[in-house]
Amino acid sequence: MNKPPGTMARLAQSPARQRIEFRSGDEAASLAARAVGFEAAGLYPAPPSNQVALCYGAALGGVRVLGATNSRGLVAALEQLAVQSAARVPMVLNVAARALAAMPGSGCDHSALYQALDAGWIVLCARDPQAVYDLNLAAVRIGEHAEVRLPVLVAYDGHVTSDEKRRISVLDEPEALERFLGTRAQAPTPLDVAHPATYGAPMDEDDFLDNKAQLSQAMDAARRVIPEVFAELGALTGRTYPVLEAYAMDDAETAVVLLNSAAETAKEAADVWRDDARKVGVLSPNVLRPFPAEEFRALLRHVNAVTVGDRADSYGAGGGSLSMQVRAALQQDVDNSTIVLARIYGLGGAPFHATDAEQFLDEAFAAATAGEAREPFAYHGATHGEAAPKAPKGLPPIRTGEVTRGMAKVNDATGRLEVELAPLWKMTSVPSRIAPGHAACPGCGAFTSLHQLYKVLEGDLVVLFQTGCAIVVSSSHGATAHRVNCIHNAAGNGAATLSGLVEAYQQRVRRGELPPSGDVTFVLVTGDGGMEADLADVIGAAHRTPRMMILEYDNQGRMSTGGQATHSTTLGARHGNTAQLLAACNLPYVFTASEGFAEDLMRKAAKAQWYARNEGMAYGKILSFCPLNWKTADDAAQPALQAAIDSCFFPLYEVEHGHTAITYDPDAMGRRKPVAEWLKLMGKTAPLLDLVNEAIVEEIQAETERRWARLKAMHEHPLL
Amino acid sequence: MNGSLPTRVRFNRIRFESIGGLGADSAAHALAATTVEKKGLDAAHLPSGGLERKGSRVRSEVLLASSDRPIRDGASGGAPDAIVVFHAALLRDPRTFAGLRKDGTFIYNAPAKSIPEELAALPRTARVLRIDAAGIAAKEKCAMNAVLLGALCGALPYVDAEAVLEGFCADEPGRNGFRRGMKEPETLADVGEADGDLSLSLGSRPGTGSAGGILSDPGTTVWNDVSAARTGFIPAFNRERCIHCGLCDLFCPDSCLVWEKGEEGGRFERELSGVDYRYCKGCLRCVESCPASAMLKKAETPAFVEQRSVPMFPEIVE
Repeated sequence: MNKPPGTMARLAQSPARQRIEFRSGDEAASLAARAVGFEAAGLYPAPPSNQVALCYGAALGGVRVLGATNSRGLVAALEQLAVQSAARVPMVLNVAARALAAMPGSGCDHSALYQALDAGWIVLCARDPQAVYDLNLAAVRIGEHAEVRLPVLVAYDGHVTSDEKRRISVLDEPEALERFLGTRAQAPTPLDVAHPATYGAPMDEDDFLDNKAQLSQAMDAARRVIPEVFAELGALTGRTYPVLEAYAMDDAETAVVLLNSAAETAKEAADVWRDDARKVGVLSPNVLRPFPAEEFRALLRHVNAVTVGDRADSYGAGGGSLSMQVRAALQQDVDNSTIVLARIYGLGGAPFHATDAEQFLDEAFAAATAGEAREPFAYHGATHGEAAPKAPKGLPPIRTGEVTRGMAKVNDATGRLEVELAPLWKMTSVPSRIAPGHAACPGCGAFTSLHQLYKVLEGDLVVLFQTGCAIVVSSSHGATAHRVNCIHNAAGNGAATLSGLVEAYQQRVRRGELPPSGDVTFVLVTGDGGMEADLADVIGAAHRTPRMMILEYDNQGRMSTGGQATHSTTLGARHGNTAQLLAACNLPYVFTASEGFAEDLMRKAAKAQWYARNEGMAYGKILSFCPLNWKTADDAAQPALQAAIDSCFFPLYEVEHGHTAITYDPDAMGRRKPVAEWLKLMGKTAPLLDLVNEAIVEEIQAETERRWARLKAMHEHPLL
Repeated sequence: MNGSLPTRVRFNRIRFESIGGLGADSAAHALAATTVEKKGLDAAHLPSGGLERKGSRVRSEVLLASSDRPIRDGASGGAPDAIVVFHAALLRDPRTFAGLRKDGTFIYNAPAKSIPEELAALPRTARVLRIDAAGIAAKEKCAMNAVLLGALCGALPYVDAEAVLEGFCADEPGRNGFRRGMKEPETLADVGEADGDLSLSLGSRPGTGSAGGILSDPGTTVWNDVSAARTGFIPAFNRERCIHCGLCDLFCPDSCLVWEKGEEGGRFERELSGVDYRYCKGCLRCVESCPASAMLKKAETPAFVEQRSVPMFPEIVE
């Protein structure tokens, strides 16, 4: 049943039939995946920490697996990467390389990729969409080779390669590809119930060391196998991939070494210099693990000076990873006297043009002429020196008195917390803690929600914004809309970070370093996507119940990245409910609200703040309008929000010390509507109203009614 | 099939300057895809990066090259041979013109007779074309990007306009808009005053940022002008009808409604005095929420905005 791969020698001399497509790197990867016929794919939405684990499970099941992620997913999975290489389970993981940062943007950067270099995976580098396609095919064969059996990472540049579209050739002859790939060699699998085995058992030290030595041997085997597979790939496609690509290197005296798209740019610079009869060349590895040290030694033997550019720094090491490896490789050649310059460039997607590559060549040329590297390590294109003179001044800080109304009070007679809202017109004198001039979409409901919340939240606030639309549009490009202390941290870390800050605050108040407790309220602002990414921390925080509040603008999806689903998005009848989840964590106060019901929202926000100051964590889930991804007009917010609530898809209630109280009952108001009335108002869900989808809508309706009936029962019974 | 281009060096670069939601990225993609799929040339599409949102700045680039000279430099932001501006408000931003070559082509979307003074920044030798894409799109009931793509294809002799039309516009209104875009641009003489190619860089930064990346001044976005996010409509405030209830203020995502103390002894303690159009993105949620019809949807004109805008921070900004 297993057809052995590696039968290309018997194939026809000319490449297989192909067709032209116009594709981005991401699309090229998916075309390759489709061509290979991957049987499972881990394409989890934004919080990607588990997608590699998902792939691992599927690969253990004995199928061909493709994963795709970016820097955040890769780094979040670092431990998983090491487990998987040690377990010797092949799969292919595509990585659009971006920066390591709280909000990396989509620009290219290799800092996350470099973190993964020591994880025991084969690392292939794809310089353009064509290479993404081709190397994905090769990756299957390399990883599955009997002597290798390692997972393979295909790395390409964020944005420049992942998003930009190019002309590519793709195979149009499935049989030829099938012959190239063969079938996946069977390995032990937990799906083989006739042969029970234990996978991933803890190892003692000796076994662990041996296991890693085996992995190292597999890398050595890959060093032999990769050129063989690339040769077969060449026969199949007509495109060649040496492990180290050399451009114009034959008689080169000066060279640059660059990874991926920047190397392509540098070829333009080399051509300009060659036209000028100067002997320059470009080196760029197609394979980074195993590292092509021997090839570097051979190709640099007669080069006087080389500039190695790294799109990531190994801070404090005097160069990025690639430059250090090139230096280490050359050090083993006693006859070599190439001068190596290390340069850091293009971090976070800063563009790299041919003129930048020319400067690299210039610097190498100068070093060769001088016979020494006057500046062995430098940042290319950075502005050094004193902090810039300050940009225009912002707004004055908001004084506590300007924003304090005392609207939430405990009624001495009943012992209940009550809120008396100031009249709306009066609240127009509360200075907004968000300045105008931010870059949210027209009509954005996240900012309407924030504006309403800030009208009632009293005193000094410290806010932490979870990664998502709201923080990006309010604090990018060196300007901030926030008028109170605002923190942003990497996705999935918000609740823990803010808990730590609350702890420090309370300590410093105890020590008398800060004024007495109660003045500062700590607020975690999140979208529903950010909430999902941070759920483990949120539940942990709920357990410790620090004095803080979590306010979630729920716009039913991950809107900053194209509207991917979250737990909040209705998928047929399924959608999660974090309000119920956190109510079950026994928080003193949990509420749902909507910016469409502003006064109800503000009343609950005032209560939540009282609880956050006096008892412990409070949580509010606030349905917020998103004209971009709901696909509605900017000024069609009210009907859509009203219908979501009148249909009981998003009921308004609060859970106070475990008692559920519905705060708006569409039945009692005679306003109850079927969910279809809501779905039809949004472009994204209107197609559900087609007759063919009737069953789906009925299912949503039935589940909505069940939940509403349950909520009513909870409202009526104090023990529910 | 191989093709060739009268290219200066390796490729021709066309830049689409727009704001999110006007279809610049999809027009750029259609141009590049058609070139590759139908004409056998090489092309690249460099879409705008960053967050998905409406109203934000979009810069989409297309590189066209002969098929024997592969496009290798994928960095965006090179010097363009042609620039297409989708929204007249972008003409106020010098980045819109950056890098235009002295023999380049500049196409902008504006009603007849409109020649903003900022166009003086263009090279005197550049070809400047104006097209009323918004007006044509409204008449033909098509998307504006069809008209502007038509204008671009009409202006560049080496682009096969019919092939792009075929690849981009499936419906009749779109085709009509595209064809009018090809035919109707006005060539403007004596607009630009600059000599030679325009610079790509917009001045060097004065220094580095603060250590740790802390933005130490609160509320600095007040210096931004976000009016380019509007797509033709603004809320017009009628003070006579206003009951100063404060509802609109709850629903304005952009905090651009200006309130003041009511007149001494008057009916209202707080009064709405108007809109600061510098910060208004034209979502019209204030119009939607107003119970007294004091906010009305109005087609935007520069004169109206100039006369009626109420500055929110007169002592701080400008």
